[in-house]
Amino acid sequence: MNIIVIIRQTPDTETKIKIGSQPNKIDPTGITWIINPYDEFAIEKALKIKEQIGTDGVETHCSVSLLACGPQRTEESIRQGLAMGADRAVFIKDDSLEYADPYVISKLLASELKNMQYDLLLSGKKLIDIESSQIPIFIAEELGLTHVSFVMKFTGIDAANKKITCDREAEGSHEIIEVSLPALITCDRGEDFPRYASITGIMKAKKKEIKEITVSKEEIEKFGQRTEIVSFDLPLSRKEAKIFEGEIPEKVSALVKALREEAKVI
Amino acid sequence: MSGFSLITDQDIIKGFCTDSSNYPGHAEALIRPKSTAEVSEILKEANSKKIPVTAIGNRSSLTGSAAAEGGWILDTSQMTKIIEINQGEKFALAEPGMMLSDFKKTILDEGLFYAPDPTSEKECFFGGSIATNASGSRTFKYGSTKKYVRALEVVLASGEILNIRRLNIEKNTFGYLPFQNMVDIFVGSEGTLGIITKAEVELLVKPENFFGGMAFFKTLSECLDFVVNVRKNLINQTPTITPRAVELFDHLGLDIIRPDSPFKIPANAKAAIFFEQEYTSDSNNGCEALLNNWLSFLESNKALVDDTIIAEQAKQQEELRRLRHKVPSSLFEEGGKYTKEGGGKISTDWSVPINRIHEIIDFAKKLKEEARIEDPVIYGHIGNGHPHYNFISKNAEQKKQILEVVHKTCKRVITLGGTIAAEHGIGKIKKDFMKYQYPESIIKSMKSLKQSLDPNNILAPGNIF
Repeated sequence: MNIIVIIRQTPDTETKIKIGSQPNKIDPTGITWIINPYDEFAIEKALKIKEQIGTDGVETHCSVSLLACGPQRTEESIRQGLAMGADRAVFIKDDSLEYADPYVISKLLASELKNMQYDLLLSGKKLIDIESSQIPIFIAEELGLTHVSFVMKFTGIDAANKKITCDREAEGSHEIIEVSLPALITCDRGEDFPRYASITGIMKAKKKEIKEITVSKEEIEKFGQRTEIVSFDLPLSRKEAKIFEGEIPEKVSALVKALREEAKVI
Repeated sequence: MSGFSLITDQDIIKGFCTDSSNYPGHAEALIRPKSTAEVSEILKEANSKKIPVTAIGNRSSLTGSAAAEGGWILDTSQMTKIIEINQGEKFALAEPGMMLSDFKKTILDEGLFYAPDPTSEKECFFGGSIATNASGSRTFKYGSTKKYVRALEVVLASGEILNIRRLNIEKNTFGYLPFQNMVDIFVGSEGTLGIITKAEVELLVKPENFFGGMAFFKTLSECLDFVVNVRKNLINQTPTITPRAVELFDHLGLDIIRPDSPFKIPANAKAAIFFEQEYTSDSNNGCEALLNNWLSFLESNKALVDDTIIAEQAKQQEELRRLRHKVPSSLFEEGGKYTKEGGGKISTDWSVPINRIHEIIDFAKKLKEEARIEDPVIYGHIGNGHPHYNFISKNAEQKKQILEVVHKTCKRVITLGGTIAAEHGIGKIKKDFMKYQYPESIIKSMKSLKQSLDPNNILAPGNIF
C-alpha cells in the first residue's frame, strides 16, 4: 500500500504573531516553524497503518511518502516527518508560495499527485494558522477521489481488498465509514500522540530522498489565486481585570456595587 | 498596633501552615507585607514581643522549612515587582514574591536567561529559591542559585535593612572566608537569618537552541556507567557532548511516567536518562554534529539507541520536563495517603562525587534488602551524583524502618565525600542528620551566627537547629 501524507508548515502554537510592515503579511522574525499539528497526526496515523500492515501477514509492503509545498524553510519540517519514520518525500519548492492561496496550493499538489502512485492520501483536518480546511478537499475534487473528513482513527485496514474503515465523531456519536481506496482522508487527533523522532531516525532521515520540484512563477500564476489576504488584525486584547483593594468586607461591597452599577448583571 | 494588618482567622491561616513535606505547622496570624519598609516594621514589632516569624515562600519546601511553628506567617506573595532588567550589564532586580517560572519567562521574553531551574519552578517563589539555594536539572551545567545572586536586600530580625553585594573581585583575604561574600550568608539560610526583600541576580545570554532527549538502558548499572562517562568526557579538552541536564529515571520512575508518556518506553528498559543539549548555528556545535556525537556516545555506552528519543520541538521539550516533574508530584500524592497512619513519603537528598555513585547505590540497595523494605523510586539529578530516593511508608512502623536505612545511608554518604542535603536544605525534618556532616564545634559556630543575627530566635524557629 502506498500512502502519501500531504503536509504544510505553520508557526509553532507558542509563537507570538506580529503583523509585518505590510498589513497582509506577518512578520517572520522569531517564528519557529513546525509541521501543521493536524498533518502531524496524519503522519502518525500513516505510520501506524504501515506498522499494522507490516505485521498482519497479508501484505508486507507499505510505504509512507510526504508531499509538501512551500518556501525553502519547509524542508526542515519534511526532515522531521522523515525522522518520525516516513520513507521519502516530494517537495514543491518556491519562495513565492509563502502566501499562495489554498486553491493554488491544491492545484499544484494535485498536479504532482497525478504523477505519483498512491492508494491512500492523508492530511490534517485543517491548518492551524489560517484555520483553513480547503486544500485536501480541493485535491480530492481535482483528482476525483472519495473524501472523508475529520477522521479520528482507522478501525480496519483491508490492504488486500483496498478498503479502509474510518471512525469520526458526529454530533455526540461516532460515524463508522468504510471507504474503497484510493481515497483522501483528513485527520483529527483521535488518540494519537505524534511519535517523537528517535536519534537513529533523525540520522536516517538525513539520507532519505527528498525529490524537489521547482515551479515557475508562470505556472503558479496560471492557476490564478481565488482569494487574497487583504490584511491581518491581531485579536483584541482582553480588558484588564479589575482588582478590588482593601479588607474582605470592603472588597465584597465594591464587587457587588460594580456588578450592579458597571456590569449591570445583578 | 502598627501600620500592618494581621489575618487571624484560623480558617484562612490553616491553608498556609504546611508545605510540600506535609510537616504539620501552626500559627496565630498571617501577614502579607507589600514593601521592605513593612517587612521591617513587622520584624521590629515581632522582635520586641519575641513573636516567631516564618517566611513561607510558596510553601514548596520538602523539609518543613516553610511550616511555621507558631507566631506569624510572613507571606511575600504581594511583593512581585521586577524592578529592573538590565540588558547591558545582564542582571535583574526583583522582589521575592513572583513565581519563579513567571520571573524566568519575563527574562526570556527580554532575550535573556536566568539559569536556575528547580523542578518546582512553577510552584516556588523567586525569593524562596534564593533562601533555599535552589537547584534543578540544569544545575549540571549552570550550578545552583547561589552562583547567580549578585546582591540582596535583607531585613534582619531587628528590622534593620541590610544591603549587601557580592564582591566582583578575584582575590580577597579580608576576614573569614565564609563571611567574605556576605550574600552567601543569606542564600540558603532557610529564612533563619533574615527576610530577603529584593534580589539582584545575574542573567545570561539566552542559549541559541537546544534539544531534549530520553535514552534507555537495560540495567541501572549500565545507566550509571553512562553518567560517569559523561562526566569523564566533560573533563576532555574537547568534550564530544556537553549536556546541560542529566537526569535519572529508575524502573519504578519509568512505571510512573509510562501511562501517559507520549513516546514508547521500551519494555526491557530498567533505567533512563533525560538529557538536554544546547547547540548553536556554528557547524562544530550545531545540531547535526552534536546529534552525531550523542549517537556515538550512546552506542558506546550500551544505551538502547533505536529507542532513544529526541525532542526538538518546544512542546515536546516541555512535555519531557513535565514527565520529569510527574515523578515527585505523583509520589507526593501517594505519600499523602498514609500521613494519617503515621506514614508518608520519605525522600533523600544526599549527593556524592560522581565516581562514588555506584558504591553508594549498591550500599543503599544492600541496606534496603536487609531491612526488607519496599523498593524506593530512584530518580533525579544523577549527573550531579544526586539521585533522590523516595520511599513510601504506609504506617509509623514502616517509616521508622525506612528512616533507619536512610540514616545509615547518609553516614556512608559522608565517608564518600558527599553531602546529606544537596538542594532541599535541612528545614525541620533533617536536623538529626547535622551531626553526621559537621563536627559539634562547627554546628556551635553556626548557632552562634544565628544567635548574633537573631538573638531572640524569632526567624523561622525550628529550621536547621
